[in-house]
Amino acid sequence: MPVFKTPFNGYSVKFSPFYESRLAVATAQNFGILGNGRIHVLDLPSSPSPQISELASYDTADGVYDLAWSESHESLLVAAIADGSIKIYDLSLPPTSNPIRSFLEHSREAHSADYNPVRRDSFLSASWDDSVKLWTLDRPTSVRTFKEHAYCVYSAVWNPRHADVFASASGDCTLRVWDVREPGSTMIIPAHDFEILSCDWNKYDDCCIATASVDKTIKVWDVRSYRVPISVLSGHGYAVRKVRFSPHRQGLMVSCSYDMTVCLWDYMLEDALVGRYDHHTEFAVGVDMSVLVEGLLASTGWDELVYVWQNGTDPRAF
Amino acid sequence: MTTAQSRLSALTSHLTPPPPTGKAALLRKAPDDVVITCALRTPLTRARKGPLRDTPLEDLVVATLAALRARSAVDPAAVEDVCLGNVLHPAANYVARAAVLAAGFPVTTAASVANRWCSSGLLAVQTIANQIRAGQIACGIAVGAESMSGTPDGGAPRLSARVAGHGKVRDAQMPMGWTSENVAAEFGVGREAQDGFAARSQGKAERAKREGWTRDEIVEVETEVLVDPAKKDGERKRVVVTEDDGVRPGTTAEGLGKIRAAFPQWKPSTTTGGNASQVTDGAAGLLLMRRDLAERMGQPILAKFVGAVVVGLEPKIMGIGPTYAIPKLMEKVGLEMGDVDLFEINEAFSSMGVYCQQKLDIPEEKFNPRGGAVALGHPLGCTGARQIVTALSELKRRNEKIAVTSIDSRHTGAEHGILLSRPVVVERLTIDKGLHLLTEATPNGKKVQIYLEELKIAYGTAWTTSLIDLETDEQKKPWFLRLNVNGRIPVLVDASQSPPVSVMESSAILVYLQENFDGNNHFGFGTPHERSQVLQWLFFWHAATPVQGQTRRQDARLRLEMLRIYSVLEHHLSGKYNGVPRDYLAGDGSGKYSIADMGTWPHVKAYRSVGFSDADMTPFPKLLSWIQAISQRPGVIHGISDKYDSEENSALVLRN
Repeated sequence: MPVFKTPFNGYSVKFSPFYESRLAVATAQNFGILGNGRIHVLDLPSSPSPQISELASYDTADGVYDLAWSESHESLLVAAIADGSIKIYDLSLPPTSNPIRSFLEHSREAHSADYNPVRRDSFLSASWDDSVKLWTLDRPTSVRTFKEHAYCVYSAVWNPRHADVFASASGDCTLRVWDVREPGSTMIIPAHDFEILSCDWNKYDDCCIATASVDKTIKVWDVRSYRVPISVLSGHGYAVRKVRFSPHRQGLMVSCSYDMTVCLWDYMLEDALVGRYDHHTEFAVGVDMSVLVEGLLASTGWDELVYVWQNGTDPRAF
Repeated sequence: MTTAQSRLSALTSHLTPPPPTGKAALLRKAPDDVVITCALRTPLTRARKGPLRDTPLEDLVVATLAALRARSAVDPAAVEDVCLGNVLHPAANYVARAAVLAAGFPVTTAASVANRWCSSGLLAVQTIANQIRAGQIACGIAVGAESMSGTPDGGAPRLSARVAGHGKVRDAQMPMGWTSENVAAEFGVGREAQDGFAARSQGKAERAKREGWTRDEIVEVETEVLVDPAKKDGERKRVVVTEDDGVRPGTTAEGLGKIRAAFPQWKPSTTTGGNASQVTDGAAGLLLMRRDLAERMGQPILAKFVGAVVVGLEPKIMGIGPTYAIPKLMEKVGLEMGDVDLFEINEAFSSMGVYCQQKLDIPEEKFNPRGGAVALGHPLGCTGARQIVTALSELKRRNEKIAVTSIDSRHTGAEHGILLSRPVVVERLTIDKGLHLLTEATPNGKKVQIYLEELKIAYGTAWTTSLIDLETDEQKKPWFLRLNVNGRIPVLVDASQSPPVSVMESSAILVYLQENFDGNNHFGFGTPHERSQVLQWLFFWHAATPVQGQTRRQDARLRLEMLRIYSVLEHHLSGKYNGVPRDYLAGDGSGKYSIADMGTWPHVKAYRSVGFSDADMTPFPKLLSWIQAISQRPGVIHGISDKYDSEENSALVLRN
């Protein structure tokens, strides 16, 4: 399957919700610690070929930590930048016209972006300044700031069914569930004893959410009874950097970790670890599952490589 | 910090996360925890005057070791090392091994000696704990013992001129009384404050003794005393020593104020025989092991040894060591002072005690609640271990968790703090006579809590409660499943029956209590048809419970069914179809408050929690007034109070 070499270290990869062959990659120089960043928009080859072509790329003055495709415009891309800014790119415009927006409100690194999949008019950013911000494209400033976490917020993701509900995962070891109509968080789940680096909602059960932590585990929760996790998934050897639920199968999840592997899980099975890929040679920090092609996976890491492969096949083989 | 540095440190912490600290981390259990499974001491009696005056160090140690063996019933072969904390005996190393063998331990049990002056007892505990923690041993005993009658302090030896000439060394060779006066002078601790402190120590010790709190600390020692102390080879008499003799009942600050200064040669000369620690004989011992070994051997876990620190300071003010050691310890384990339930701090001199308590801002009820060395005496090598024994007993009595002990220790200038956390839980549920409820603040738990509170008001019925930690799935553990194979709370255990009866299912528990503990039918009925009404409504709601539980899923069908169920209750209470309005669900006429109402009310009143608004409930006015009327009952208010909530009452929470 195809591989793409990025000049900088990979941070995040996201499939387009509009084109089955398109994906965007966030990268940062010097492991995101110091230097520039670059966004790559990639197109997969139509016939089997090792070549991935680059449709566009955008340079930034600081590392790019995450990306989110717009759910309403096929050409719009939201980027979370390490300098705290949130930038909007429009692929239909020439590079010189991009970014079309730059919002600088976060006082520290912006670490995640997520586009509202239900209402499709707004998006969230999560930052190391301990806050989550809600934005719309047409406003010059954020609509709201959600500041309750006591440490870096690594991830904020919308509920797939309820347009106003989202969850945030923080280094303060809590997961919080929010309803933008409410003044404060509606639920605080002390989900791990160590930092929580990622969270994602189940696409088939709007009460089910997964958290990934420095404690090397992924926990699956039912927010209606969150005293005990539904499942604790052990198998990663280091902190779990990202977790995503499958858009196609209720129990299926993918995760990537500082242990350099990408793991597939079915939390509904007794032996939940259903697959492990060790194609990366540095920390694996970005992973995604295609909505449009069942079983299509993409990952990136600090080894400056982007892999796209069909679940069950060897990412390195082509 | 630059941006790059802060990014690097954020990412580094993902790879090497700091160990969790703070109260929750400290109370967590791990198989390799160092735990204390037995802790006891001899009585402390006055040197040269008390009944232990003719008991040599080795006999004190043997008595302590033998008592530990007997009380813990530990396999002596499991004890790999014994560390003896002792200060004054010139040949303590001979004594340690000899005493271990004489106490019946096999030759495989090794022995060593720890000496850091007054904190030797703590050092012994620390030595054993560290060996366990490092994996060198799995089980050991720490003893602190001192016979100040047999081996009094002979003062500092002559040191070589090269060493003795160092200024600080001179300070460190000075008698302790001098350091006490230095503290009094430097920190302005006056005579009155010291005498007040000493009187409080005496008062607390007296109370602890009178109330019998120290009973589980102390083991009797059978020994001999010389009938005529002057004749060393003269006649001896057998005595059984059962209690401390340093406590002077009725001591007042005024009385202490009349005692003359002990050290007129050193200003401000505020230290007296009344406000300094006493010269005393005694011993204390603790059995320590890994948690998993304790569990395997069935040893009761009294506490977890969390950590210890040591700091050095100026020899001339050595007594204020705890003011350095305790903050250092707190920082290391990530605790706030307020998290600590109890402090046991040595009272070498009241000047130091007053200063430490003030400086650390320790409330009186947490500071040496059973008195300290001023009242009990200070057998140098024993005190550190003794303070842990005392702290554990007091934590248990108060049902609290975290204790810190600290000692100022003389010439070494080294100060110890040791932190202990006691599991408040009963690891295996032991239920005394009577009724016991295993519960947690859910509607099903509340209905039984309410009934027990109602029975208490009506009959004075007594019961005890344990809260189940649903978070750790305690209700799915084998011990719980033996009581209720369904693995749900609440469970009632009636230990007034032999063998004890356990009852599951909240409605069945209500019926059981009604039949057995409500002889006057305050909350039930004498007539068969009324009893039948109770059962009808209990059954009706029992069947509705899962519907209400599921309603949270926002399923329209379930919401409709739930509204239908509310309307059944509304029609029944309002008498819509039979023309007889009523106040309660069961009973003739307008009905009587009964277990039918108790079984239904906690669920129905929680309609908001399952997604119904007050507007949704407007069609049910009679039901709402029924909710309101019942909520006013004192038994109901008590039954749903915070004391049944594990968040509020962690002391009652059962977990393993």
